[in-house]
Amino acid sequence: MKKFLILFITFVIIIPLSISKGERPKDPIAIAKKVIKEVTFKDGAEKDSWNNLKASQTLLAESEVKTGTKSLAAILFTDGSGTITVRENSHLFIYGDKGDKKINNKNSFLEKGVIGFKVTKQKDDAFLISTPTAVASIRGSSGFVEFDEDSTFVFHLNDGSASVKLLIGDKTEQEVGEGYTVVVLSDGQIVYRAATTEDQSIFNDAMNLNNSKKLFINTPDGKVEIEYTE
Amino acid sequence: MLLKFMKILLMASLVFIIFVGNNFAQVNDYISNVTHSPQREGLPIHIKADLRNSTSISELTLSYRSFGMTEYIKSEMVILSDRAQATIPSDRVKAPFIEYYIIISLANGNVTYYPAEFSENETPIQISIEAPSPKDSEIIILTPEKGERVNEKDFFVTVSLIGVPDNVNPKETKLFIGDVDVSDYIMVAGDLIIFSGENNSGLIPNGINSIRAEVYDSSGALYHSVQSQFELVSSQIAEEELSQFNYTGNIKGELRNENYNSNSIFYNNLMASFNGSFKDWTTNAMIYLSSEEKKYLQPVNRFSFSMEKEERFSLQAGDTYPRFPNLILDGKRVRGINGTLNFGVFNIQASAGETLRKIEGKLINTYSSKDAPLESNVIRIDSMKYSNPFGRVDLGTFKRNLVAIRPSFGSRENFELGFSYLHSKDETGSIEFGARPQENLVFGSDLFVGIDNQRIVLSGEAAFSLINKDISGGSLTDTQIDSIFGTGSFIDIDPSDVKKVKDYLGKFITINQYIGPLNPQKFSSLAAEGALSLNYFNNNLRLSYIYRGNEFQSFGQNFLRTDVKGFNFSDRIRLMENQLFVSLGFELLSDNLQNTKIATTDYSTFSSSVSYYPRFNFPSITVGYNRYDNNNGLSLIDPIFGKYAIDDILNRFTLNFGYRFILEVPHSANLSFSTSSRDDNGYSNTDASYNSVNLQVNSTWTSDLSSIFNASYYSSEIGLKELDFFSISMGGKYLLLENKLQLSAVFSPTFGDIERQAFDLIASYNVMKNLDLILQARYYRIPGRSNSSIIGITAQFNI
Repeated sequence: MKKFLILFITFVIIIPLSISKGERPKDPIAIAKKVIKEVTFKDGAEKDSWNNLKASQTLLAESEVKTGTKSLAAILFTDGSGTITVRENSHLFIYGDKGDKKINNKNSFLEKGVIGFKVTKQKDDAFLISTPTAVASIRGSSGFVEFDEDSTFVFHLNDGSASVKLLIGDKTEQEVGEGYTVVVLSDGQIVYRAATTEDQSIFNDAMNLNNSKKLFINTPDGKVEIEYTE
Repeated sequence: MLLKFMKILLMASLVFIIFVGNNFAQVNDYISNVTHSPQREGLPIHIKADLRNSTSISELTLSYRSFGMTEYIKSEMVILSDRAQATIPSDRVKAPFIEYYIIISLANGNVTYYPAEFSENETPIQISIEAPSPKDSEIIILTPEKGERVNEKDFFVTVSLIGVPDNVNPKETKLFIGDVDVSDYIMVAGDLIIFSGENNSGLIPNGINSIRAEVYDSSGALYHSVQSQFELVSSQIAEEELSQFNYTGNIKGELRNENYNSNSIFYNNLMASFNGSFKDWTTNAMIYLSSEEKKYLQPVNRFSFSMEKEERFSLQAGDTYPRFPNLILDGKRVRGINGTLNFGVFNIQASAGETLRKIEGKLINTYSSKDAPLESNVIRIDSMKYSNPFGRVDLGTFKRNLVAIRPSFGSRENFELGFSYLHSKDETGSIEFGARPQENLVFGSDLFVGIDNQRIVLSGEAAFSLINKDISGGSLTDTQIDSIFGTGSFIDIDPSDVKKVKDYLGKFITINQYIGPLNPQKFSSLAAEGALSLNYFNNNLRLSYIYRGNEFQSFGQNFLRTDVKGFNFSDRIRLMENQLFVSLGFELLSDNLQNTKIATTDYSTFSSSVSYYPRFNFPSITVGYNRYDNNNGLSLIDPIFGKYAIDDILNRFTLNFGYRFILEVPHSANLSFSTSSRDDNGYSNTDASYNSVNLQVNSTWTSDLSSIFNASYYSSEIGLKELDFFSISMGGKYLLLENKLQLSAVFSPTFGDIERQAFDLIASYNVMKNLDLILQARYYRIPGRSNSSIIGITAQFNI
């Protein structure tokens, strides 16, 4: 019985663990292009600790990026397929499989907050941005996705083509035209409307990497510079 | 072995040509030099011409075409002081080459060409176009993005090798920023090559820098290299730019003296330009004022203002060059406004303004009604004012206005359907001494369908024109129509038909006896073309058909070839991973569409070219062969029509080597041969042969010193007339005083049947941060004919 237990532990726990260790992602699939203020990340391979994200930091698949107040991170995918701009108070997971000469199944999961996206035209599979209530499938375009704490999903398409599939309610799929916005309420109700000036304003803010200000504080150790987004 | 032999052969050719002197250079009285930006498929080519004796030039027109194109596209060059420039748009730059020549319209009404021999041999200048490599997309320079302005604090370089094959060794990658090799500082993370900004610390100078990444395979051989460009700015400047409105500009003033055969003339001009940006908006403004501006000439001064928001909205005012479908309006200066609104599904472009300004004519003498001769420049004048009702005049130019509008549907990604309307009319009252003011109306439509990521493209356009060649009398009244038209009258057309046409078209154009075409049912003023392009299996195949009636005319397109129809077929085949290009083209055109000529001439053209762009250290080679066969079927022995017989064949071979190599220091060399012979069995019987060889070597000796050497030989034999000359051009550029002073000089003597010497000197001194002074001197001597010199001084202030 004891031998059986040892074997059981060996096969059921240790071997799968070692296999999962072997499958850990190795090659980065993204890189941080710009970081402002307080941005932390959890590496796809070492998921147990949060570290400060700096520009030029590479990110493996399954990495998480979290931004603080008035903070920003711009993430580039290494196959040149697109840029994701993570705005303040957001939490993003980055997924993708390093395949033959490309990254397959690119999927950015937005747990909360706002991200801007600029995606080059996708040849094969679409570029996905997921939230708990809806998935946006993007085929070369720019816009933003917002997922509020009250589970409201907003998808605005500035240009290009995309569709949004609901994961709740009747699970319908909505094609989105340029200059249009899809809003999915927490009960699954879907609103498809022309973009408002507020949508446009959020989009402009989401895509603007230079929209930052600086605060200088004189300390006994010298001048401290704090950069933050507006 | 073969490689080595070819290299030795090439070097031997170069040495032979340099020291024996079997070379060719463009010799031209009006253009001393033409330069163009790097040539790569899909990138625009900026062509700049240095002018000599610029005051005798009234207009310069760039004529260009890519392989397989039926005709040359004409675009007006913008003349600014002693330089003219034009741009070949990126969508028209295609491998294996672009051919061009420049039409030089002189102030005295004559026309000449660059190259000067083009009028005889119709051999244009050929620029090799490098095709994009699929390897370009395998290696991605992720940061900085192309053309990006980067704060030095945020600066780092990332190159992604995600697309390269397994035999590439990322660790062997070499990275150059400007002239600095930073390979020792790079970090390899999976497929990423990273040069961290922390390693910069003054290594990379602020300003515009290039990035070059060289990627090597596991055997150590160069796999491919890619380049990009960015601008590094100091943190201070970057912070200043965060203020919402960013701008740059400069003001340039020039004093110039041109001395031509002891005839000395002073000129001066002032140019200011301004570029600004605010969020997604960009603005540009430019003004050029010259003392060469004269009331009796078309404008020399230029001014323009433009603003645009990404690709959705643009507005230009002043001197604009609107681009509508080719049959309607393209490459013509319109002084007015031009704007576009692009919503994707629906778009609209509109342009309105003046294409010719009024130039008053001169009254030479007057005639009574009975003494007035029937001549084109004898016109009716105000008898109350000048005593007699007729006068002989130097005819002036009416002010000509133009309005064009094109609504379109679709974003052109997969589909676009457009409709064009152009109306252009001379203002009859704008001058006193003028004759036959005209009016033009063009309706057109165009269609673009792109399938399978534009691998299948179906495109077409059609336009119908009406032209009235004399609107001075206005539209006809019904009574006048009854008296002019009808059986037995001046024009045998049913008057009721004319009245119907007047009712329909009179709202758009003046209807009188001078309107054309008179035979619209024969499609004489119809122009149409359609093309199908297929891009599969490394073949870029294009089949097109054109039809241009003999009376088609658009005032927005002065240079369109009319009275021609036929097919054009071309195929560009990419082999050996885009290292080898085979291009084939065949065209069969004919004229006399409306039977207005004695015979129909068939023009058949066969074009072929093979280009090799090796990925290793070896010259690029392009070999071309063209055959032009023109025949109108008339027999020379025909007693009546023999003198109209056309029967000639022209064969042309070209060979071009391009090579970038390091022989102690980096050199860029280009060697080209061209030979052609015309066998003319027609009435004109002008057999001819032309041969030319041209070598150009640009060398960078140090970061401060570079040189240029050009040698060329040209010989022609037209009938019994022979012409041989040899020209060299040598010079250099030297930077002194910590790059504040730049000196460049070029000496260009020509020997043989044409003898002349030219010397150019330019000294540019950066006096202070924003101020440059430039001294330019040119001396040009034609022994026994003329000596001319140009001395100019320019001050440029940058803001």
